[in-house]
Amino acid sequence: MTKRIIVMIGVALAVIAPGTSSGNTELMKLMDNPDNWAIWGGDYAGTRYSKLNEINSKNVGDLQVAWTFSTGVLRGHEGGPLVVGDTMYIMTPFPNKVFAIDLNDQTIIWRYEPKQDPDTIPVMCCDTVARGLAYADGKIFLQQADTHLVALNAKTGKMIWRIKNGDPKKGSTNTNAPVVIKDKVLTGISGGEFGVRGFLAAYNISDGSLAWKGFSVGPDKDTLIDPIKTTHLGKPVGKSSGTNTWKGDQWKIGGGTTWGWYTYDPDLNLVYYGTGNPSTWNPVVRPGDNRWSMTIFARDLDTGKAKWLYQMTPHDEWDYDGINEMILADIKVKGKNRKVLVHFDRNGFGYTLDRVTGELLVAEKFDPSVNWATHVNMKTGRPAVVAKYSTHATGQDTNTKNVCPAALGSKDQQPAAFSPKTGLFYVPTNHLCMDYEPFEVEYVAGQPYVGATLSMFPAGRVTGDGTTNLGNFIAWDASAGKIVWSLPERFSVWSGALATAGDIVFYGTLEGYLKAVDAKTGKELYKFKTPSGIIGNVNTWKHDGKQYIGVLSGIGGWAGIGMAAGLTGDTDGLGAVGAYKALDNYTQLGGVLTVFALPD
Amino acid sequence: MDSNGGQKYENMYSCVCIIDKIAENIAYEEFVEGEVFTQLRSTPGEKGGVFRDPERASVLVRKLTKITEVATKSCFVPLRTHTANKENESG
Repeated sequence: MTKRIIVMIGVALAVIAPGTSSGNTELMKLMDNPDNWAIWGGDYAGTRYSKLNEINSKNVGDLQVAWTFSTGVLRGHEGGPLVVGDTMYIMTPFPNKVFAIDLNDQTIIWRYEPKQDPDTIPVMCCDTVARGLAYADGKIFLQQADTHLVALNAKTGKMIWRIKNGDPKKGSTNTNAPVVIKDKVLTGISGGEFGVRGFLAAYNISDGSLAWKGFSVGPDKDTLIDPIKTTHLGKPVGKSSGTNTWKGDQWKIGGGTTWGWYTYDPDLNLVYYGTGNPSTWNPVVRPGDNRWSMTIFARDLDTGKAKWLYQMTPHDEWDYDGINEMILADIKVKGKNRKVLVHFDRNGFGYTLDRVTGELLVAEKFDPSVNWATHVNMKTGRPAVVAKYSTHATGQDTNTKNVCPAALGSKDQQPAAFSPKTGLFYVPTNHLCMDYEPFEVEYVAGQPYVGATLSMFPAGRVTGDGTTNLGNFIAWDASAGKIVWSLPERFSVWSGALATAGDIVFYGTLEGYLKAVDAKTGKELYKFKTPSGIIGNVNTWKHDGKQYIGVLSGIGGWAGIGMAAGLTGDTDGLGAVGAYKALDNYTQLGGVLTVFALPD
Repeated sequence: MDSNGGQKYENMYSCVCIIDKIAENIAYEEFVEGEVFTQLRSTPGEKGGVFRDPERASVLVRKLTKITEVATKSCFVPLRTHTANKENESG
């Protein structure tokens, strides 16, 4: 009952004082109670750690499926369910249906299906995924693929307001989960492959009006960067830092999109996130550092002003988007207690920074195959790029071979977890290398602006160790910058991890296994094959005194995708549709939420 | 079963037969791996490259396709042709 009362008080406060920071207070109370899973990362720090310990390393082997729920939508199911009190909220990939489910009897309380322009689909680069919802203030916030940001009444599913965050005709789309902090809802933008200029936007939760918008690249007034106060590794960035490392006005289509996750430190009032690749992929035609693409941003929540920045991959030559989550933790580094930000970048380096000042503390490879740079210079923060893997140095229309990691990065968006109990970070990774060949492209609004062909293969082919695994699941010590243990996985691990006080870590695999491993040793304790590959995040909650584990399965490229996209020509969908058209005879299967619990 | 005349008792035989034949010719782990490569090759964009590019992917997809074809034939199930689905509204 307590959680119901908390929910009711929260709602009541919101009614009494609309437009104040009640959303924050209410949400923080919800997040403090581990019975809920009220935000994508479990908390503002993005730790994906739960204090629940009913399911633990001793009994996890007995885990059973408690119930399942089919979303009826094909394609990639990223993100995970939110649980607030007795209600679960699930979002599907395009067309972005939302379901509110009563946890008492698993019935659907309400569903919401937005009408979206199907023309949005072709401009989404990598399947029409969506990474979930946000809850606060009695509202569910839905970030649609077509860039509409919608506030729904959490009780009824009725729309309260709706605003437009971008223009799909120019290549902007959204895949990220919004985050509510104080009286604002934060969202970003996707479309780096279409020359979209990235930004982080804060809208007022009461009516959807824009509070502030900070671009990743462009003039200081757009980026909300202060030439003197905003720092890069402790030094003021100076005037026009978002334009003076670009040729001419290339910054206007400069990319730096913001399709990852956003975390927040309430004490510092700072929001943390990363920016994506500069457009185009062809580095030869865009000389310079291309600031502030591939950058970690710390912005003041109230004003959007950038406090500090750190560019991880200046002048990107490999599509190593910097959008992966920034996990906030308080750990010891070199004997000193530090408020840190830990980030596992696509470029293969695991970074530990002081999140107050932006000082770089640790930057080490979290996959041993990483070869594009030998190390990061800790003074300048710059990676020491190896010439033969520089796709710029080898040049246009030349194939740069055996670059590790591949463009997908050593890790993509799937969020890692941090256990304060073990002090370790649990990271789903890719173990792939690539051949990369840039070519010349012209920019046309709404058209792909990629300019590179690439081919990927197991990293073992480059390291010569005879392995063929395409992924690993690792435990990482962010103080030392060292891998503690590493579990080879046949496929890249594209599922978000979960660590719990039961000394276990959960993750999903592309074959569809939900796995539980010992948090200290990595020993496999449980696995179960769900109906389809898992690229969703594993979440946990408690209902009626019982702990549950839930994960969405269903993955992009699922055999039925041609039908789902309404494609008919045999050459559509990169030629794959024709070959797999017959497969829809086998199944109408959609994404499935599988919920696990211990038997009574 | 749906593709071979619906959820009927008599159709169950051919399905079980095919799976048994597949199981005789490929280890479960390899079957699962091959299935993932087969299904996910159609993932659009660079992400799908993971399932299209590696050599092992083509090898396993070919192996699994062949085993499935042989199994299908030996269980007296007509091989499916690439026809569009009648009910085209799956998503």
